[in-house]
Amino acid sequence: MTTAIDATPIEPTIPSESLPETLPIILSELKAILTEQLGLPIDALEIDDSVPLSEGGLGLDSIMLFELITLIEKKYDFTFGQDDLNGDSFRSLSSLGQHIHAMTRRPC
Amino acid sequence: MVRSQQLLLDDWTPRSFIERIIQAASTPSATLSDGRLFLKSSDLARPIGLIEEYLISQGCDLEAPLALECSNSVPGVLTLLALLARGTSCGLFPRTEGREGEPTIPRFFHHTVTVRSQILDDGDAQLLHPASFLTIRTTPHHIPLPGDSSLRRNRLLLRTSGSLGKPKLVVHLHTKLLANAVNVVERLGLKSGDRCLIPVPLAHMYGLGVALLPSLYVGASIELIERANMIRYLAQEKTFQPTIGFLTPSLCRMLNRPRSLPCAYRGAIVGGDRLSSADYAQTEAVFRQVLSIYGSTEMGAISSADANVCGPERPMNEGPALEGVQLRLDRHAGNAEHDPGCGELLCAHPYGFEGYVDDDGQPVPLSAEAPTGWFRTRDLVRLAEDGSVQVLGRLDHAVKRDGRLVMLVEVERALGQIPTIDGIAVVVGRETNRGRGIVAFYSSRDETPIDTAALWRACKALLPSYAVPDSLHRIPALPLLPSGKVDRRILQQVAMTSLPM
Repeated sequence: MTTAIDATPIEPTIPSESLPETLPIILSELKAILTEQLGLPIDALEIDDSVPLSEGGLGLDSIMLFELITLIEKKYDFTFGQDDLNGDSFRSLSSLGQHIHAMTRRPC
Repeated sequence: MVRSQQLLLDDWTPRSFIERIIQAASTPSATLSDGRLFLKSSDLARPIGLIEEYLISQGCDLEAPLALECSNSVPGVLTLLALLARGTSCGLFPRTEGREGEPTIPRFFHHTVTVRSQILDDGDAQLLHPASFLTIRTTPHHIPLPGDSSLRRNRLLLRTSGSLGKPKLVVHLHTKLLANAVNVVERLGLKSGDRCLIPVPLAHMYGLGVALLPSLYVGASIELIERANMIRYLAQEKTFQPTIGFLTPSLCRMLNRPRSLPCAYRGAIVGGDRLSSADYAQTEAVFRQVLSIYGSTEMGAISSADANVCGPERPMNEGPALEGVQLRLDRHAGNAEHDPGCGELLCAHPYGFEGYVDDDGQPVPLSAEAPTGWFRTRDLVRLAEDGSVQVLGRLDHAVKRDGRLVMLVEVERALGQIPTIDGIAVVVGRETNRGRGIVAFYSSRDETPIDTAALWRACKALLPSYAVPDSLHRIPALPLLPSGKVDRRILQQVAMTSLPM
């Protein structure tokens, strides 16, 4: 009668070997957005790349998450498609960074 | 409609309402789900019975009030229905998170039943094993209610919608709460084939009385979203394929993106706060139809746009009063001298609340006097000629943010504790994603530059996130009126016109 659906395991959307060295730059830019523009009361240097964005991590509430999405779109000049706004991409800072990297296809 | 509901009220018990729900839900397709757990609505009775047995086995007295910390989940709904069916008085609260300053469970509730979060607790809930999703604790310093207290049975209590001041409890009779819910069904056009997506919290009147109970009553399929955000909404929308989404203005702003909407959608019902005309237009463009609904914790649903009126004939405001609800204006309030259609809204509601009580269950008098049988909403509204309501804002010095009422004076009081601040004035700013903006002006005798990062940290430590100002501005000194009071009018003007948000 009841079915519990297991959470999907965390899988990076992009194979790690294809990530050039701009990913660390994107991650540090994301940390700057979180601390300087969203005002998270934490030092950017203290944010671990693997930290979850919402519960159990940075604790972004629904509005902050929305503002983060808006700020990312503005900074990197793209729009998240409907399918890009998914739990896997937004699970952690690193998964988000990888997703942005794939979206922007920035040269090294 | 009113007559038939009055008859229903006379005949109803909450148990018969639950039976009615189970009967209505017996259409083979009706389901109750939350993205993880799934139940055919026709199978509701068994887990509800098991929850009742479990609570009794754990020493809960179901003949006395229980506090229920509820989450938007299948176990949350089942536990709530179990208590309603039993006639147990129940205080319905959002889950506490152990944050300093959170309201505590009032002492007259002997036990608190917490529905474990499927997100925060990472639980493995199994619907036929209540121990897997319920936690029960005894209230510290419990003081039982007198034996003859009316609160002991058949009442549902909600907190007032969250000013930063000490919240009161709003008392509803179960049967009236249920009648209030049935009263919106026809206006919103809810029917058994609907698929209702509910991201709004069940521990507030909108989520409970407008979204959940009416959807259950018509036998619709229901999907709940716990701790809703844009990502979770889109994910569950994709798999659930709703016909109706119950939204707030802030959710509308998040979801108003160019996207392909699941084709089953009939529209969005928007409550909890006022939708600006720009947001209304965008939401309608995305969701096809928008029905604004207006109400309060005390009165439940008061007025709503009509799903049965199509096209330009349907007002884009909060619609006319629901069946049996009477409205009138006190034109002495607000800017009535400039607009005779404006004033404070007074409401007489056949299914409204019984009154307020404090944390000891003692009655709290109404703060504003009103004619007998009428309730002052403290909302400034315009009543159109067709009787439809347009909410303009709160009369008190307050703003609605994230659907919660924030008293600006409480924000000032909190920020006044920061040592570097010696003068503070908080005013309403321009529209933001959370609702109306909050702008703080402060002065400091400290000559050295103020560490703004530290100031922000202090704000966030002192205030819940929805009450943190959108911007802080240091000024040499607060402008004063001849009386010595802060000239808020000037600050308000600056906040609305010349400050970036």
